[in-house]
Amino acid sequence: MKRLIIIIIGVLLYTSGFSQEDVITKYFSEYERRDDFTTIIITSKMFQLIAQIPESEDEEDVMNVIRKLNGLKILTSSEYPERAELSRKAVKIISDKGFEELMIIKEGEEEIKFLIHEDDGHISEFVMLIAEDDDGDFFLMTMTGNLQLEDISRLSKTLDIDGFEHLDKVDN
Amino acid sequence: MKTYLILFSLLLSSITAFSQSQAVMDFHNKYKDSGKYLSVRIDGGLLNLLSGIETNDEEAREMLDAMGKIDAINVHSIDRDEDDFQESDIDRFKRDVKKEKYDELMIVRDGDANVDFLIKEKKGKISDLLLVVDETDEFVIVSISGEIDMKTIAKITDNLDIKGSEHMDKLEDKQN
Repeated sequence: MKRLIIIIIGVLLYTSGFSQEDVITKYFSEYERRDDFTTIIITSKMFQLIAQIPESEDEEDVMNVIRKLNGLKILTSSEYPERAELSRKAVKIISDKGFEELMIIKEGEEEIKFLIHEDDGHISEFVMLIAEDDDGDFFLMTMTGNLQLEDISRLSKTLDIDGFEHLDKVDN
Repeated sequence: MKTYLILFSLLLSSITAFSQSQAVMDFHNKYKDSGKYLSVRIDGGLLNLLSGIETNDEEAREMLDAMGKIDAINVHSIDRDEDDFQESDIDRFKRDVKKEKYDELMIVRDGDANVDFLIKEKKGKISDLLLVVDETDEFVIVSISGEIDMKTIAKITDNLDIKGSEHMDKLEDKQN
């Protein structure tokens, strides 16, 4: 009986999102432990606090997106010898797990890929992967939260980044 | 990290440590007589004096004003090769901190260094801030107590030189 209760609680906690649910924790944790990798984690508590900072008018859109975020995690390495290969593998791994490529920005040797996990207009996870040439850093960033596609397009308008104007087409 | 520590030790005056956190107190009491243990306390009074500095720089002004509300800054640092040092004390410290209901804000694992940024917050006001740096040769605790507001935290984390933030900068450059 006790065992059954423990199992049920475990399942409930898991499905309610208590567990770490981002791609880095799920599929790249072996790299986190390595010395030649750097991991940065920003917790939901941090986002809660940031959300309390009074924002100026032009920051409003960005703040609204931040308010919907739960967590951010970065995995990066400038020393791991097989970084380029890992970048390629990472895209495959992530795409296989239900992520779609939202956008790719190419500038010279550098390629930034944005992938999202989307369900019916709700984006639960947003991944950014930066691949430079073979010598460049490996950079993988994931944000979890409760975003909508329109949040991303609104954000892109605010950030006014070259190429991001294509993101508002996503909404249509 | 090291820049902040150097900055604090430059401002240093007295050496007794007096912290809000029991976990930090216990850790300090265990090692206070050890040779390779450094303990620094900067009292709020001194920071209050700093906030009287005149400056035209708005950001600096904000930082100085924020400093005036701090009760104390405590830095404790122990060399791992110190004879009295026991790894279990660090484990105990981490467990005790958890019991005191600190919230983790940010964690950085960079090579052999682990940096943990924690706060104690009640109703939007932060009363305590802990920066715990765990490296191969040393273990450092920075504790700031008092009335700390979010903007100061944001500035501190901005300064932590996050690797990968240079990629963020590249994104911003594309605007120009």
